[in-house]
Amino acid sequence: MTAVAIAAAPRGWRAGIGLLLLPVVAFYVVMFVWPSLNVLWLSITHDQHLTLSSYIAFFSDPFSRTVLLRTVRLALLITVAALVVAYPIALYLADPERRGRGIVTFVVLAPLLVSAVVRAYGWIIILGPNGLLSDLLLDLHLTSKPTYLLFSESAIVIAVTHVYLPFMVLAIAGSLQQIDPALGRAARNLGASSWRAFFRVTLPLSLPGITAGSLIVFCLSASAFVTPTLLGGSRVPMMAYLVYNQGILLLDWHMASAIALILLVVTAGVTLLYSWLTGRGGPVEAVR
Amino acid sequence: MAYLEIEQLAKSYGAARALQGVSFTAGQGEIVALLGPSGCGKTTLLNLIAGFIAPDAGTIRVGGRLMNAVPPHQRDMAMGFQNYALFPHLDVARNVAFGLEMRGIAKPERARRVTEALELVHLAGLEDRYPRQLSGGQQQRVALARALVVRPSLLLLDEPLSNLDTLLRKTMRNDMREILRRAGTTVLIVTHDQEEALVMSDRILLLANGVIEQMGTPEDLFERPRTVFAAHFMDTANLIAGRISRADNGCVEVETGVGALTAERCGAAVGADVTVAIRPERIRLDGAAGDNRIDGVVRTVNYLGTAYRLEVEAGGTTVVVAASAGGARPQTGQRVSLSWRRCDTRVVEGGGAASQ
Repeated sequence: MTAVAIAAAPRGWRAGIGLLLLPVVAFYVVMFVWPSLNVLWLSITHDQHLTLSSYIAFFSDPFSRTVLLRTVRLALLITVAALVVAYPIALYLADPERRGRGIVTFVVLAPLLVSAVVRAYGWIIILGPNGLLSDLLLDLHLTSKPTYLLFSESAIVIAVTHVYLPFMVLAIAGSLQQIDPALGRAARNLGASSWRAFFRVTLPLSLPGITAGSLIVFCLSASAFVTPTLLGGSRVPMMAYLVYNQGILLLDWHMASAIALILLVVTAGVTLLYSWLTGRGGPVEAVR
Repeated sequence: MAYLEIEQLAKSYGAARALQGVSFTAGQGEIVALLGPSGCGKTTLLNLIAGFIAPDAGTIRVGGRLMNAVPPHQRDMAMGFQNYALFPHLDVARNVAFGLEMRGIAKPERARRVTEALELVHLAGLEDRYPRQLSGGQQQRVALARALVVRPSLLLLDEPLSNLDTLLRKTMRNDMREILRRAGTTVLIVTHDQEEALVMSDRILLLANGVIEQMGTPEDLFERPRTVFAAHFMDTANLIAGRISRADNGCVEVETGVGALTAERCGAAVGADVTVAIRPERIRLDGAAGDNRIDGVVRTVNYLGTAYRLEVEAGGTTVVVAASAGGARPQTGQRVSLSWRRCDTRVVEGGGAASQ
């Protein structure tokens, strides 16, 4: 509708809209495009000479390769974990007959209201030695030794899933809310049990929300910095931590830029692959 | 032998009684319209029979089998939804096949029955289309095919034509009746449109405020309404209050504000307060029809295409007359002599109803 309104607007109007966009475009160019080009330039030069030495150095170092693989693996794990946790919550939120949806929404959104550092320290208290989780497992006699999750991949997965859960919940709930409630009744009426009705109707129709939520969570967690650094630290570093290390601590801006770009290419690649898989004409679409 | 048997069905929502003591039966293959204004309980009745809601009291039997405790997906009934509820992510063939698939019917048999069903609703060749690529009328027919293909024990249609435009609705109701007739399924159609009910059903169940007002063939309801509500709902515009003053063999005389009117015999006794119902299209303007006659003056004239709708002031009340178009246009202020036959004068229950 908006597009129609703009297309139908007089010529002068459209020029006016272009003018209104100017500050945004200027801001975007100065604050994003220029620095990005700068990063690209830094990554492929050394002492003003074009060279791929930073990339070669990255990929020939087994430690860097481990970090890259860990980043992709953890980001995927976080995405799956968020999806599994978020879907039932989204189903609850999308059902207009449920009470207490306001409270659930608040609880889901709460991580976004707390500063990343405060939230990470909260997890340190829970996951650390003599922390809540460790004590609980000891008290229940489920373990005999104190559990030490802090500074491990599990700690990163748990904490990052917690932060980015709201994006997944909201994306899926949004697409569930668009499903006509009569479709569920139609499926039931045609002889589908509630499980089959869910898998044949509700789940496929919520796929756009699953796709959007998964992409957001994957990209955010692949490039997450504060939470993984505080909960994993130098013991289980991720890509963003490497960038920080090279750029701020070792002052090797060429290497830092190269790592940042590798991360960007990987997330962009996964995004494109995922969109193709679930989008129109992709294999998943064909199955549906 | 009755196929669908509903007995003393009742349902309340809190203090609001949606349905009360509803009993009726329908024979195998019969098409029954549940007719009534919005809020009369017709959709509640449909949902009770489908099993989406549970009754407070009463029983539902299909083919002798008690259905009260059977969950909706095991009732073997198919429902047509007001907005069709087609699955947007499945093409026409998969939409129609859905119920067969859920019943575990093998693929070759499924394909054969889908083809058959699509032929029945004249949609052969559109198997690969998605619902969004179809017109409203086509979507309606896909929904019908999807419901009929499972050979349901009972087909429940909720306002099946209300989402279509007027012209399409008129074609579709004939098509649909033909399709339903050929499928031979027992059908309940919920509608608020009396014309739709008249055209599509074998029998009409008229509901008002959660109780059955009248049940009968379309002709019964149209020609022989029993109550003021039924007469009014079937578009009988002239309802004149009166009192029975005389009854002899075959006919009664009703004393009304417009004078004494002769009517067909009815159950009411002499002295009872009743209402006389006369259909506008049965009244003539030339005084030639006999039995009942009053003089009046034409006050307004509306041209409806097929007829002129006149409001005639006669005997201190306004009488609505539908004069067939084609003749000379009646003029405002014209003096007319209204007349109608005794057999077109119905005495209905409920006195004191003002002429509507």
